Amino acid sequence: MSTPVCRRAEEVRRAARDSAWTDELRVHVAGCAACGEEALLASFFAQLASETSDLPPLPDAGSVRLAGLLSLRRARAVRLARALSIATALAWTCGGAAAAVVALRAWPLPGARLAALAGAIPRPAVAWLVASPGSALLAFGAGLLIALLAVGALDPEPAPNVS
Amino acid sequence: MLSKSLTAPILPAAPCPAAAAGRADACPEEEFRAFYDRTAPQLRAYLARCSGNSSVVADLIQESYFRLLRSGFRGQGEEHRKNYLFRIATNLLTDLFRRRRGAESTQMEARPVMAPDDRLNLRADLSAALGTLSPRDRQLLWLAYVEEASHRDIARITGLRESSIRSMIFRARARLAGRLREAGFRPAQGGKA
Ligand SMILES: [Zn+2]
Repeated sequence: MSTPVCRRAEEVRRAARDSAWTDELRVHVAGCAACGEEALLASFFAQLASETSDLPPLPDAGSVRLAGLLSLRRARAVRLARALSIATALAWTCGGAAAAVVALRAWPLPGARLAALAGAIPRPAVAWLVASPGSALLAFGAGLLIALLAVGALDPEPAPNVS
Repeated sequence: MLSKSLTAPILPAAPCPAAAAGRADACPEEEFRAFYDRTAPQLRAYLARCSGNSSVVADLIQESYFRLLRSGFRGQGEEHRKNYLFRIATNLLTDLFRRRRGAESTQMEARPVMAPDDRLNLRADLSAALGTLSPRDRQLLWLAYVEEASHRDIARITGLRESSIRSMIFRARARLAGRLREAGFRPAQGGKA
């Protein structure tokens, strides 16, 4: 176990760090095991922290930022391309659905046959779609809205790995 | 020096509105440069002394600031942001030690206690003395003594429980003090150690 903490430890640490010793504090440290250890450690770290000659040069701030930005923009471009693919797929799906609704309204007979064939599709939904003239447009608009929301909801930036 | 009066948690991150959209360029160049100039020397020392390997330091610095930019984290002031940066760096160090387990970092860890007559001669020998400790001990002591971080901030930076920081530092201190005494290190003007 280490020595217990002394109430003057903080004072000793500051003195060691700043090389600002008073005679009185020096006397105290000589007779206090806890402060002796504190002085030893604080002095060691003060010297180590002030020694920079063996450290590599710092990268330039501008190049650090630029490299980060370039990397981010690449990642952002990838995400944007993915979002556009999703939006395109959704737009095609909505357009197809809208065209189908228009076709069903324009030709009720094949529409009815198709609806009858598609047993899995709930009747009320088909009836509602075919019922009003604006329903096709509404369905298209809703699809587009979903597509836009999907794009907007995409996480723009993954959280940093700092867990 | 890391903030002692920090009350807000480092995580979860509190990005500024612009940066929340993941825009690192929301951090203007001048602002980044000023933050970098103030924090990079300290980060470099932390990474170099705790990794014990200067050749990885530049990459770790680059990666730390990149992740900070990417996170868009601004915090509640510079100290908060700096703590977050140190947390990122600490995680990078942890990854580095994991990857290099069995290689150079553990050679450093496994270094035997210095012989009593192998007197510390400052400079490289100071680093060598620190290198006799485990990576975790090095981080804890560096943050406590050089960055003068509070136990709360150390817990946030290292991801350890705040309640265990005190005893961990206590033990790490004792280990390092023992090594330093064996090596004959004496405080510069501190009287008897
Ligand atoms: Zn004392």
